[in-house]
Amino acid sequence: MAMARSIFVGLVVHFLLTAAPTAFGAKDVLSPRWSEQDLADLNADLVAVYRAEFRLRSVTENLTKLLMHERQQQLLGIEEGSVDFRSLHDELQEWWKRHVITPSFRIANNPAASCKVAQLLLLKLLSAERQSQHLGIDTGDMDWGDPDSTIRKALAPVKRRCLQEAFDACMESGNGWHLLSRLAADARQSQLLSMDDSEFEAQAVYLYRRCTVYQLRYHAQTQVAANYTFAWTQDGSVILLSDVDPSEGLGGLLQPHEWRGPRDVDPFDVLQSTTECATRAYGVWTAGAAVALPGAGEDQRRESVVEALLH
Amino acid sequence: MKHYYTEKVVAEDGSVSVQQQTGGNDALTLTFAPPMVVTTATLISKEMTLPVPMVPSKTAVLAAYDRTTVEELELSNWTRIGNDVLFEKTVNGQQTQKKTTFTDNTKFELVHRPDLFPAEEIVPKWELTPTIEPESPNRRPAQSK
Repeated sequence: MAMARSIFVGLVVHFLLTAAPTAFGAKDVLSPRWSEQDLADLNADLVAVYRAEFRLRSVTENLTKLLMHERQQQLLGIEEGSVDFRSLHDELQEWWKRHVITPSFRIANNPAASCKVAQLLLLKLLSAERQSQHLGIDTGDMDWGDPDSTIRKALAPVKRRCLQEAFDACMESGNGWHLLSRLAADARQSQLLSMDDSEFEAQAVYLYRRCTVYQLRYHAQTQVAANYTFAWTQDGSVILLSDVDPSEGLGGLLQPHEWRGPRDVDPFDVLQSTTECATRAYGVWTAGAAVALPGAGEDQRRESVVEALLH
Repeated sequence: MKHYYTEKVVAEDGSVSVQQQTGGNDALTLTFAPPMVVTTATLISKEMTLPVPMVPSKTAVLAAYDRTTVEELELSNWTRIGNDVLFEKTVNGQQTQKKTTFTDNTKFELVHRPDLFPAEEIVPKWELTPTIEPESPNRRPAQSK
């Protein structure tokens, strides 16, 4: 008996682990943005970046010693050394770009990377810039105001990756907070950097509206009982859409907003079934009351309505 | 809606720990707009047969909750369920007016259905691909308890 029970439990567990999510009545799940190849690529790029950084640490130590020695000589008025810092820096920068920045760009564009991992790219770029400043060289890569600068080119895929992550979280949970908080963080960053990113804001608000679609379902049982009985059930649903306007960006999203429905163009989804009817009431026979309303015609829509009393 | 997030917390001794935090409230209020649907009922008496416009169940439902307009019906204090049914609420009302008893029992469910976003409102340049897989149109109305 115990053996049979354990087999049964095993079968149940197996079903729970292998059955499609829709088997439990859940909505279809998101297909992942990443493939196994993306995961493999991400792993390879992360290893490459960390390995390069490890190598660079020893190079930087030696370079710093060399730099200090050179500066000392300059201060003492001794003839300049033979070290060409500009070419050294260029070589270092090239090596850095090839072994750190390039894989970091790939990481930022890799759908398997989380937002935080994608942000690694920005940290690497800032680190490279600090290194350049240490050597007294202005690379021009970090000009936030220049759309063609490396940092601006890096920012775009990172923001996109983070937006994707927030959107996926919203799609899985139904909670628009993920997109709201993401947009708030990005908008603040853009504000600090004096960057106009209204297109990005509009996209994020659009995705908020795109994700936070709700369906109000209802099942109603109603009865009127006097010296007659009239009863019916109603099953129906209404699609509710957010009334936020993407063109208003984060400012509009932070204002109180509502989810409304149905729109004028939405088809009616109501099924009314009369369960008790046609009994004598005050000398008037009632019959043929609303029995089914699916697909009610346009001529049956009215802005104002006249109520028909049943009693 | 209530949401969960992690936060790095620095203790007095300088140690850093990651803690799960919650924010927001599961607050939902449902209000009703004036009805959009009118159907035709037929009053039959010995003298005449008269078709009349009728708002289905509105009068009886309002009477059951002792309200005069649908705008007065406001539903809050929903129960948070999970996903994809996010919230649920059941209302019961019964009132007797002039020897007539009006009774209503309605169960509402708020379901997350991004797949129902209107196709005509999709802005292709703002879409993030791949998008959610379309759901088969298997409408499932809420069931009474």
